[in-house]
Amino acid sequence: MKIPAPAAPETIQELIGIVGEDNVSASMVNRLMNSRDMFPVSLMHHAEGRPKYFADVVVWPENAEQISQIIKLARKLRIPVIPFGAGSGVCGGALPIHGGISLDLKKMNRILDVSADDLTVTAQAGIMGQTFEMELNRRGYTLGHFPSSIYCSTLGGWAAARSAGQLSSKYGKIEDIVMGFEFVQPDGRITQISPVSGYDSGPDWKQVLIGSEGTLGVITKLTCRMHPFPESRKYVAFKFPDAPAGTQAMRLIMQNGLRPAAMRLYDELDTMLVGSKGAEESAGVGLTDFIPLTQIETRLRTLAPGFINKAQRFVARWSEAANLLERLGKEGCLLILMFEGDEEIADYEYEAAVRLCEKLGGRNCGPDPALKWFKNRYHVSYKMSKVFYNGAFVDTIEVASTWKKLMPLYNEVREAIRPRAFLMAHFSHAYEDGCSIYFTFVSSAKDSVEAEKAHRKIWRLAMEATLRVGGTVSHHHGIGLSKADYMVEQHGDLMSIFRAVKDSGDPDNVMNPGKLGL
Amino acid sequence: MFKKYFREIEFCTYCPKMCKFSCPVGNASGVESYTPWGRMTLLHMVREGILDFNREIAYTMYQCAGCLLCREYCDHLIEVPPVMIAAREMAVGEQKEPWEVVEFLKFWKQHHNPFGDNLGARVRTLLPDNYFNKDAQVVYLPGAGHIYNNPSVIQDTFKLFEAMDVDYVACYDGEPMDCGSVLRELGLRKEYEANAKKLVDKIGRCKVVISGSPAAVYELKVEFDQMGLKVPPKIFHISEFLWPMVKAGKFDVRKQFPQRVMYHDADYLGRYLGVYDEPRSMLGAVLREAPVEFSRHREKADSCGVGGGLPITNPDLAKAIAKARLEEFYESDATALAVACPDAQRIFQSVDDNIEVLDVINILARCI
Amino acid sequence: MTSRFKGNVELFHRLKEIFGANRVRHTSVETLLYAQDISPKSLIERRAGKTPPAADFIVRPVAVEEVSRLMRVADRWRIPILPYGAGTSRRGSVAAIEGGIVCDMKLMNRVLSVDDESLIVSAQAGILGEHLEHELNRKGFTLGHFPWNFQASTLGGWVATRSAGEAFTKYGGIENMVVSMQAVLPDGSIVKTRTAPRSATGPDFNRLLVGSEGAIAIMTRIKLRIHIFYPRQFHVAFRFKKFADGAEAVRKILHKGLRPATVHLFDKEETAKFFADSKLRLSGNLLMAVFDGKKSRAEMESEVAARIFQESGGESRGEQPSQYRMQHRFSRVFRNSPAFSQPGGIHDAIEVGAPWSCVNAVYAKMVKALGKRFELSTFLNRPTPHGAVLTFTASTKAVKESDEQLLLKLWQRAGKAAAAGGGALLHTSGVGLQSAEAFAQDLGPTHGWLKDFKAQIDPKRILNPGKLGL
Repeated sequence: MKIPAPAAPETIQELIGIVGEDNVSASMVNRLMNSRDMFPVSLMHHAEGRPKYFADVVVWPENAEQISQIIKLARKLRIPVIPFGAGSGVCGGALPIHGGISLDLKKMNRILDVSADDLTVTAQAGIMGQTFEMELNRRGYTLGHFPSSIYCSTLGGWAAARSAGQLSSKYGKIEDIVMGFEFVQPDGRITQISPVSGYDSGPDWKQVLIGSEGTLGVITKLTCRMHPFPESRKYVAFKFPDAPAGTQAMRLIMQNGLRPAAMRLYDELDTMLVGSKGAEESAGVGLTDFIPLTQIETRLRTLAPGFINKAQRFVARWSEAANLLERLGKEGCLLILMFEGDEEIADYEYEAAVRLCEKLGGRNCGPDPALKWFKNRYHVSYKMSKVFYNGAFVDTIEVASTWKKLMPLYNEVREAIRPRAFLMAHFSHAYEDGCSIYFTFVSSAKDSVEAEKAHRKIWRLAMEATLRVGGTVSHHHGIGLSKADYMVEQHGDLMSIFRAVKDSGDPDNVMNPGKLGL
Repeated sequence: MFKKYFREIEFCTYCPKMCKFSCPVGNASGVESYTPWGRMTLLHMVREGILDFNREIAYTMYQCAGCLLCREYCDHLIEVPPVMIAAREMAVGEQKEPWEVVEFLKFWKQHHNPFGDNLGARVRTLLPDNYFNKDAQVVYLPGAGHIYNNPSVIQDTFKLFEAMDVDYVACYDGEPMDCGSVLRELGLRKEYEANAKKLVDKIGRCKVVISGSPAAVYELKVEFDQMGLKVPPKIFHISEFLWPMVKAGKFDVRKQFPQRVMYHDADYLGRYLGVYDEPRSMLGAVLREAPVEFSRHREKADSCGVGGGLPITNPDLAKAIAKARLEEFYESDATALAVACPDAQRIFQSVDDNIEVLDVINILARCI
Repeated sequence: MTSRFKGNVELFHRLKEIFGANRVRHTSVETLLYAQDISPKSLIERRAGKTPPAADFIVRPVAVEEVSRLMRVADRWRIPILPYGAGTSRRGSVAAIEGGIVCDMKLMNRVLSVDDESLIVSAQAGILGEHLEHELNRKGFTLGHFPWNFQASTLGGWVATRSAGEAFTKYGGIENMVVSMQAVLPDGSIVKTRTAPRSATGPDFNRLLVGSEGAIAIMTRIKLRIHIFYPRQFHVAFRFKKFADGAEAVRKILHKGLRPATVHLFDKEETAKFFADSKLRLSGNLLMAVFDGKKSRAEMESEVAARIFQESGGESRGEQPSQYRMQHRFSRVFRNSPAFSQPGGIHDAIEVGAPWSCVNAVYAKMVKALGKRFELSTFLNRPTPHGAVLTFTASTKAVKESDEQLLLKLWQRAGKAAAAGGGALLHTSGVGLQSAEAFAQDLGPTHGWLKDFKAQIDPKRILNPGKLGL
């Protein structure tokens, strides 16, 4: 493994002068660890021992003042600064593609204020998601933000990439949750964005910085909305004949003013893998379960015993197996619902939703599938390593559109990818005006070079389909490196505005260069 | 005028344009000064000596359809049209009125009505001689607009009278024929008053005057009265006169009117005279179902743009207002538009001759 | 100061080429009127016979391409463009300090489409707010945006000034309603933001343009989230002994998760003023809430709210007070004219945003600071689970000093008292010219960035120069 030289000794000395000796490292291990995220391609590189990028040095600031000084130093030396949370992004947003200082925020991890009267909490950006939530739970509150990466992502990282949690239909995405923050600009100046949110004037600079993925500066401290810990939870699941019927139910639930905490519709293939009697572990998780091989075999065996040999051959070609399954299956689509919060309101909403789903022809499957999902809701993230271990690769595509374009989006992306990969999908994160679709694809190639090519091709096809239909290329994973081209295609001339923001704030291009199509 | 309308000008000037959305002229033109706030603020600036009362400001004062809708959205119940008319009188006095007004006056002096023909002579061709009785106590005053544009309303009115055994109403056929509404609206006060006096000379001694023209009813009942002229004690719009009889069952409905009908409230009949129910009730008597309503109706009805002399000073704008009003008619399933005002009928027909615009009287007459 | 463009015949001809003779104007009568807004400062000036700096031309585009061509003309001549809606700014947003061309958007006033599946309306920026809501109601929908100038403001104006309406609690501010837009940048390029419920594709460009007060782009078409319209509303009204008890009751229902469309807590003075003309005979601190939406939901929520208000020490006053308030909800604004019609009289509304923990302190400090010198009445509105807005309406009590000084004093005292209580003065009707300094202070270093950004995107300072402190 070829390791580029670390930062110059004088630079390291200056950094030590700012944050102290304990908070600077130029060791190979630290540099390597902060030079990767969960972007599948970078995983492949690392798995094969040929990481492409290396940070020059890692620093762990403890306050905004230090960050300000680090940025000023970097600007003087013209070296990049890459803010780093927990490195679980899936788009390569934290990769040091031009080297530079990896600015690790995890030592800034304290909760600063919890206000019961105001239902707000203020915490530093580097606090880990699950720690944050548990601290709030202990005090009788919840943030309501549950990305499946909650164990391996930070509050600041969420805001930087416009993260969404599994219960976003009720609590909103992170951009709805964050009310204000402290921010270090690329010129090193520290600014406070007021948390008296929702009443202010002028361009909303907060919403410019949220989602900027470190390209416009560093968020250091955030004030968020919180909620009383739910006193009641109600679960129910429905089976709908197909995806259009299921998404119609989701749409009408939202448009009737109901706000289920969780609402997820699995497409037919996903539903089948969830399986009404499938492996106990997979129940409720299955559609995003990344070990479909054995399950496909099991299902094929029960559905079409004569096909088993043929099926084994199909297994190598995921998509055909999926097709066959679908033709044989006809299991419909499973919709999982969970309501939580104040008991009176949750009860009302639960009953209203049940009435609505029944009216729309859904078959009531009782609370079990939803309960199981809730219990296993983070399991999916553990599956990834297994797939890679088996020599295949897996990735997820999260796109969104208005309701009107949702089925066209679903169909176009599916048609674009299915010849090349095993693909399943679920619909979650619903709004009154639209919804996101979460595609999971699994494929393999003979070696990592081929795999990288195949991976890129699949993305290109999916993104082209999305842009063609008029959806957004990312709902909550962000852009980073991998989607930069598509971001530019999506925004078109609007990029001139973004470039003007960047050029005026960071003329030396110090902050996380090369990301977001800049 | 500044003294008389001090409060109005003051209040509108300091108001954050609360009535803005309602002004048909403002909406059709998109011009800021063509709104109650704009025109009144200009007057305020004139009053304060900031601006001279020049031709442009005078012209702006004419950009009001007099529809009075703004009053409906004013907590102070300010009426802008009278202020505009006062300003127009000032313009005429200072010879700063638009050339269209000058032209109109020439025309009027020649014909004594806005349309040109000898309207009295035309009325006499419409009805048998026995309907004209100079000594009658109850007189029907035909609207000049009806005579010119839709004389069948006058014939149908008498058809209805006959059907209901009303034999004591005579038709007026003298000179002047026109109530002079437009003169007043254009600020031609002198001519207006002269015309009013002449008209009152002819019909002042009657006990009851009935007219199919809301403007005529308004002028007699309110404006002439305010001038101190001796007007007849009872003045009715035809719908006010007929409805009690229809209601009492004097009207034998032989057949129902087969179309879906939408009803438009004319400005003078509605906001100026407060007559909303009678035309609707009469329609209700002959329609299969109640008339289709515009989403903005009764007190809140949008103007058709025919008032305030606008068709004379800015005909394109007046038509644009009428067109905007018709949009909802096109969207509805109604096939005929009913009005109880000759002027509204005229302007609607002038912007779209493919639609059927009928007077309520026409509709009733077709059902006996 | 006479603008350098006054009487520029060549420019006038160029504009006529684009807009036709009918949609270009250049007379001082027109331009003067367009420079008048309804801010107390300009009303005082108007009363004193002073006139604001006016533009040189007024144009009325009917299509986005015309706006684009206008930008190119302005670029060539280096002449400012002042986007104009209905001119009801309260902070000098329409003053043409460097002359220029007023771009009156009101002829672009159509509802273009309603997507009844995704509940999204697309409308041109110049449509008047009331017309938009009326059109939506007719089709069975509502936008849910009812700012104080609802009847005299345009959609584009709302978006440009980041307007907030009284139903903020349920429907949010205009920034929450915008899905996407079409806008023209200073270089004449026509850009569109993507229509999607949410995105994670970098900064939210909608939110950069919302609130930009015509200084970054001219918005021509806007898509907004709409809701199913249920005409039936459920009203509750309760009288509280103390203002603080009422505020606490509001906080409780919001923490429970209820979503009233509007909530108003009037203090004694506001109650007396607002209901003076009614026959309801009300007094004291009056809390009113309106619940709308699906009947069963609204009914349930109004019952729960009533129960909590009762438990919090409120006495029910039935439905009527809230119904009356709803019918007269824009009436407060009409107090403007009588006040300014008095020599030396002024009238202004000051809004302070405060987290719940500071609401009582802000109220007490503001009343203390202003109550002696001004006739003051106050209400709490637009609450969220996290805080609320206190609206202070102040009129002159007795004339002792010049009206301009009085106005200045009002705002200075208010600013200090609000900050001391833990709240922040809000620029509710936009920043414009008059609040530019305060706005720059609020933003801190970010304002410098905003300025640099403006210089990048609009190097010739064509768009609405001077506004937002840019």
